[in-house]
Amino acid sequence: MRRLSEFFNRLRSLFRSRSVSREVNAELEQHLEFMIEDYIAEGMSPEEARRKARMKFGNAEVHKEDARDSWGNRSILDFFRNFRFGLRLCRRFPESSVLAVIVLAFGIGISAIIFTLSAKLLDLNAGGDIGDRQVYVRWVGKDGGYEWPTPREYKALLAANQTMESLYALQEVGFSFHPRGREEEERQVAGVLASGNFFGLSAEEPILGRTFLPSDLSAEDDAPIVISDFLWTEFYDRNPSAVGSVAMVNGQPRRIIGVMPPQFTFPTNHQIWQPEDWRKFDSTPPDLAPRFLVCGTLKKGVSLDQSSAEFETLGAALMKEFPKGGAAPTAQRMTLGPLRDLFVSLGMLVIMSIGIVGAVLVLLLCASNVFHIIMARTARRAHELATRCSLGAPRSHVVIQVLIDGVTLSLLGAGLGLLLAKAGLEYITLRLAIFDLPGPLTFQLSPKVVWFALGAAIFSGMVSALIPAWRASRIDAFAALKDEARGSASVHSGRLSRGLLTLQVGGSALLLWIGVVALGELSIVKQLKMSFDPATVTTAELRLRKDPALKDPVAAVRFCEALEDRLNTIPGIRGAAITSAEYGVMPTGARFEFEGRETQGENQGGQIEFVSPRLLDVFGLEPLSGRMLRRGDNEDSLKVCVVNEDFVRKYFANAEPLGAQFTLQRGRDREPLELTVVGVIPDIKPQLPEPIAQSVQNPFARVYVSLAQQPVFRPTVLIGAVDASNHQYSRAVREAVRDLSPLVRIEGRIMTVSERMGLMDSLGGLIQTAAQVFGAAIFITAIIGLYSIVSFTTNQRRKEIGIRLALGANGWNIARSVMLPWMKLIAIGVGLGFVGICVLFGGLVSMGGETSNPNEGVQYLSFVLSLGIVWAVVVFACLLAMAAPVWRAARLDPMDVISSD
Amino acid sequence: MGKDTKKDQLLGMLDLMILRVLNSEPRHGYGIARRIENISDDVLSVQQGSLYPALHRLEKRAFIQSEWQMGASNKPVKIYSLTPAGKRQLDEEANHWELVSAAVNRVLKNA
Repeated sequence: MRRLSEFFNRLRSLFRSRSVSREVNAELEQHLEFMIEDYIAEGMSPEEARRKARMKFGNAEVHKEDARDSWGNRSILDFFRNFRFGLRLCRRFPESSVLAVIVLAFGIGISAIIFTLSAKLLDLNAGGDIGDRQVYVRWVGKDGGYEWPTPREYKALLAANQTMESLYALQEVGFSFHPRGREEEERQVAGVLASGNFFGLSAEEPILGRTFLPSDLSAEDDAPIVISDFLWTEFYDRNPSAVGSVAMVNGQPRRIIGVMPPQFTFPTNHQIWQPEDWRKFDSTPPDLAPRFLVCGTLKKGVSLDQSSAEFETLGAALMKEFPKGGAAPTAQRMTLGPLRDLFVSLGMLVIMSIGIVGAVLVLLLCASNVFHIIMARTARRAHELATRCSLGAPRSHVVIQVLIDGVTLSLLGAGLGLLLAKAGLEYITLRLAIFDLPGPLTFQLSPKVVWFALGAAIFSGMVSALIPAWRASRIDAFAALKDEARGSASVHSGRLSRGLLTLQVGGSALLLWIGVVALGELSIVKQLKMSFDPATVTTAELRLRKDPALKDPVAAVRFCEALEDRLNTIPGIRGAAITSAEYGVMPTGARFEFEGRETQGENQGGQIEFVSPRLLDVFGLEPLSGRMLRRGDNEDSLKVCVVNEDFVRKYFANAEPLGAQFTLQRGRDREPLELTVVGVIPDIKPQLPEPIAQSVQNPFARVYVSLAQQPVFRPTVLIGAVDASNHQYSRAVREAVRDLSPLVRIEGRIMTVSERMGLMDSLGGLIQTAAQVFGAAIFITAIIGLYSIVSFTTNQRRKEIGIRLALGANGWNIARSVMLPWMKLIAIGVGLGFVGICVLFGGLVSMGGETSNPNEGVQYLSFVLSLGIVWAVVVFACLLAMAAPVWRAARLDPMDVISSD
Repeated sequence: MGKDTKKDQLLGMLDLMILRVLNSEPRHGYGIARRIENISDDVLSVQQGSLYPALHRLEKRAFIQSEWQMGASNKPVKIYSLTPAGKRQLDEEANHWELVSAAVNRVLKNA
């Protein structure tokens, strides 16, 4: 109770500080009155009593100040007082305030967006509350390769271990989902087949219904599922009646028993959890049994090392009990590791690190520009600061005032920046909505990011104002008061400002170049036209290795052949085939060496695609000469290939291609393939936009090799049909894949080539917009910085310029004298930027490595062109930034300047 | 025992005396100072520079409360009184002070 009263007393003193102050004054006056009355009572005259009382009382103001301080809010009140002072400064220097706030808003906004995106990526990667005590269990071979346990091993570990509270097993699968009777809304989502105890892994409770019960494993009809908050919202509009209703999952009826909260999407952005009984695999040999992620929670008081030791022993026993083919019992050992490590991959860390470094760089860039602005403001306040110093203001007060100026600007910038970030994130969410991703992907500012933005703003403001504050505190009051112009100069840091500005111009040139290049590359993708109607070909990407049995190349080939046969029975299609080309249309690059032909200096590049024999049926085409690949072209037969028209035009312009032999180089670590051409087929390729098509000859020289001779584990299914977008084809693909192997995953959505191109186009547009916004924001901040510093230094030179004009200099002479020093800096900055661009370009070119680059000529032409664009934009913008201050300087009236000084 | 606690003990004598004075009856600041001076035969003189910060400190910690009342000369006067929490604090601090002062006396006599 006393604590509560104390709290209210503090609040009262804080929010009613004026009232408290009045009370203190009145109380001390009253004290003085009592003293006077006492002295009068002792026989003194009123005047004498008053004089003596005042003498004894001492300095009333000091007592009042001490009494007010006793409420302990002085520091808070001082802060608000200083903040108000900072706001008054903003009103006093509106132009520089607006510029500083804009610069900081860009910096804070971009950083907040980058941090939100990074945090979301991490969340997507670990969709649950994974703590330090949760660990995974898996086999590790002597070569460092790992393997997850089989169902039988999981059961044995579950029964025998003593150091885990429980062990959970899960297997990621792709699900098609829609409420029963709403087939047209079917959607592909990532899901999990989980052990019955799965939800014990997390402390999250369902927001509706329940999680699994032991009886769920033996449910005969309508096996139960738990769905995510996202599916509940998307399909059921958050209607509680969803629980208990039946949904179709992979074409099978499933009863929804619960809904998990939005933050639970374990393990990674998964939306459906289905209990699975793996007893049916008890008798399956280990090499063919499915494998799944096994994880558990360490018992209280048990360390990871202790549990690892136990599981290593259990693993050794399992190796003896369930030997793996001819492997020695010591070939693998069982290991444990923090579960969290599985969800924060190296790639993710790299992406996040780049994002964070980028955000920090942006903030530093903005801070350096605000530094220029505060420098200029402080210089303009030199007279005022000198007056304060001469009146006895301590240095600390001057420092605090300048710091508060920076922090006030930063807080205003942070407010605007957060609004910009909010709008930007809403835009990104809106643009991503069209991708039909298998899960929610909404970006919102989290409290953490808001706190970060405020912290970063205060930090930026402090850093920006630190040097101006320090210099202002060392101002020579005498010199400043004697000559305002010279005094102002004493608070300006020349070399630092110029150095920062040069770096900014260089950095802006680099960022602009990246933006221009991104723009160019994406515009090419946008202009691509396929040589066939992309709306008549449906594609589905498969991940064969999700089924352990299909890790074997022979099994993978058999699966592809069986799948092709099955798909070609679908009524109404032109044909179905399987290809290694990503998205069905993007083969990999390759380099060829022709027998008996000099290859030095000749561009031997092209593309390679591993396909099933029915490829031409998909597009309704026939071989032009020779034959198409066939089932007989397998591992044991002669390695053959068919080539396209581009290939013939490029390499056999005056020769017969059929029967020709060449070697296909596929990189340093893969064996070359000796191939014989057995047929020529029509071009199935995108048409390059002009003028690239004119400058590059036959860029799509393509070689097709049989899948049976070179199995692929991430194939793409192609189905050609006039109505390829019809839902029945995607359903037929899913059914065929599931029947052949329920473990094979269909990656993403099944869609036509035109839909994929549309998505790529949208994604390209998003990246393009992001690059433009980012580059423009950085560029604008740099230009504002340049404007501030030129404006400031020109103002400093008013007297000198006035004298020059009085002595007969014309506007052009003045403009040249003002601009020349800055143009030199800009030239150095642009030079530095170009060095960076060349290094980056060199790196990009070397990353291309040995793969052929048919667009080499265009590449260098684009490079020179992009350098020219960057140079023109940077120089023009810099001239524009300097134009206003130079114009003002050139139009100065010398009489005004000299007389006022 | 931390440094701050020791400091509090030294500063706490005035607080203790204020609480004790207010335990008999509510008073205004000047009245409290005069009462301490009278009882101590003018040995202890409480200056307003220490009195009012101490009063505000005790009020902030809810050991005493204040109220503006009309005084004898028909002028508003701020009167302080002890709260139940202040009463408990006084009992505790008084016991503690007796222990400490007895200990100090023993040291001064016997050392």
